[in-house]
Amino acid sequence: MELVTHGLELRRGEPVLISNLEMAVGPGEIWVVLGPNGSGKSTLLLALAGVLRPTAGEVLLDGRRLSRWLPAERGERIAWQGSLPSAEFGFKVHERLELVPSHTRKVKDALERLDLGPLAGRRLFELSAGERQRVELAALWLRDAPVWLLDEPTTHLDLRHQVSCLDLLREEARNGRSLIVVLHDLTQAHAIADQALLLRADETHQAGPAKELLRPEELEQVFGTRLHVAHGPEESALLPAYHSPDSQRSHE
Amino acid sequence: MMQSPWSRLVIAALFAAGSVALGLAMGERWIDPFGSGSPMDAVILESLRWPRVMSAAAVGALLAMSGAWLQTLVGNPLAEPYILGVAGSGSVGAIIAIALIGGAIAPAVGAFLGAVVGTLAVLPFVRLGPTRLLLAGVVMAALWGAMVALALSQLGDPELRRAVQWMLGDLGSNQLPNWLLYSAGAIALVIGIALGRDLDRLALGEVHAATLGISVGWLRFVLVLLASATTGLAVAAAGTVGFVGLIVPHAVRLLIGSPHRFLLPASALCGAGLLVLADASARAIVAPAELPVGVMTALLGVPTFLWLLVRRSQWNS
Repeated sequence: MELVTHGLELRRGEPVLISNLEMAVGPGEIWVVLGPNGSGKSTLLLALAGVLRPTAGEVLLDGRRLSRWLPAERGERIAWQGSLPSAEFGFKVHERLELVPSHTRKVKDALERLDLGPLAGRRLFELSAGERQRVELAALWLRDAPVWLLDEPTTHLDLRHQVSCLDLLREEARNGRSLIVVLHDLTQAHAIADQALLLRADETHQAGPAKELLRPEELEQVFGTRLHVAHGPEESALLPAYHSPDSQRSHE
Repeated sequence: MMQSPWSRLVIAALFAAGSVALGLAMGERWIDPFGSGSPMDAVILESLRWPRVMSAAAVGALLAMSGAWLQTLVGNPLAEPYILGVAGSGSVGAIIAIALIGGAIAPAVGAFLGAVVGTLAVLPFVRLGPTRLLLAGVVMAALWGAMVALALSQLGDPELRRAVQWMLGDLGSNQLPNWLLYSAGAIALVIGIALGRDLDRLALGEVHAATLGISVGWLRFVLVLLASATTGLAVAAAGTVGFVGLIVPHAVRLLIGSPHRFLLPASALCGAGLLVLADASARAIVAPAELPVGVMTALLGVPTFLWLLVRRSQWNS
């Protein structure tokens, strides 16, 4: 299944967030979306999920405009993970997971995969934010949807679960799923991205292979802050230059 | 799982049945509903207490279901028809109908239309989030209160008496046939359970529901219809009886379960039981006089609501 955008334009109120976006996400690809606050990352995911109408251009799922799909058909093909759902109504973890549409995977396995076994009978409002985030990842994992949209999947997670979350994403991509992932952590982005979409604070963007775009020169410009490359024995990481005299330049 | 929600649903049914038995027995005189009392007792049971208890049960069930739907609609478990002003608009409709149309059925028709108008008036505020929605509801309720005052001030003597009596919330003067309340309640319940999974998804939040493939706009529309129909009928039958629609669904979520397939039937059963008990106490406490049943539910509901507020703030911290 392929998700394609043509001339996509998104606005929040009057200001344009993203303009003229062309992207084509194929099976087994991981796209990572990076950009400063308010650059339109979450808005883009909602447009790709078909719940927010673009102000111009179109999103095509298998060549057919997203708005032409019935909501239920769309819901079976595109899965979205974003802000935590309301815990106000006292749903239990397994009850929340059972609300996922058409799934062949078992709720029991999802609980196990995301390390939630002992929490199955607890109410959502009794859990910590990190545990609730894992419930959302479990809900996503359950779904057979060929396209996954993830809005900061590692938020709230402790280190071990951040690592296993990224493992899970890579594993699903190998199974042929298309993933579009909003991240803030450059090291995490580096670890999983095939393709990258950099959204700038203005309406411009850059899209292309992660190898070319996830480099200090490009990212410093997007985020307006200095970056260091830290070389480790096995992998290197991009770190913000917290102690450099230049690190505050974006505030001046 | 210690106890399945299904077995707890049976307990709710037993509570409703027990309340009905108690409601039949309580009153100016204690009458054993299962015993063979005097012919006089039989007449009191059959022609006075039975229809009244059945009205109370129906109104309680309608209000509790309406509360559950409105809470899901606005995404806030502390909502009820009364708080959002829907019952107030129902009263305005009923009073206008009493003034303009007259006839026994007038309040029912007016209250129903009024409830629809009241729900539509609150709907634009739904997407502003729970806090602002509740504030909008409070303000709307104040507006409907003013409209009630305006409408009453324009009424002449017989209509005014009738309107005031109706507004006090009196199950004794229910003009609607019980079969109508029960069949409407049953239809609403069946629709509600059939939509149960979608309603559960809506309870996760609108964006979540939309990305799961729910047509949120359409579901909201159905909820508005269900909530207005049930509120309108309840208000038409018994005037404004507050707090049943708030407390019952809330308690059911804690004690029985949150999925709507349990929440709705259990709310109907517990709402029925609660209002029957409240009405029986209203009749028994100052017998042979009666307290308005709305006073009883408020005495019960206000402390419960405040307790819920404190409890919820503990959850959040």
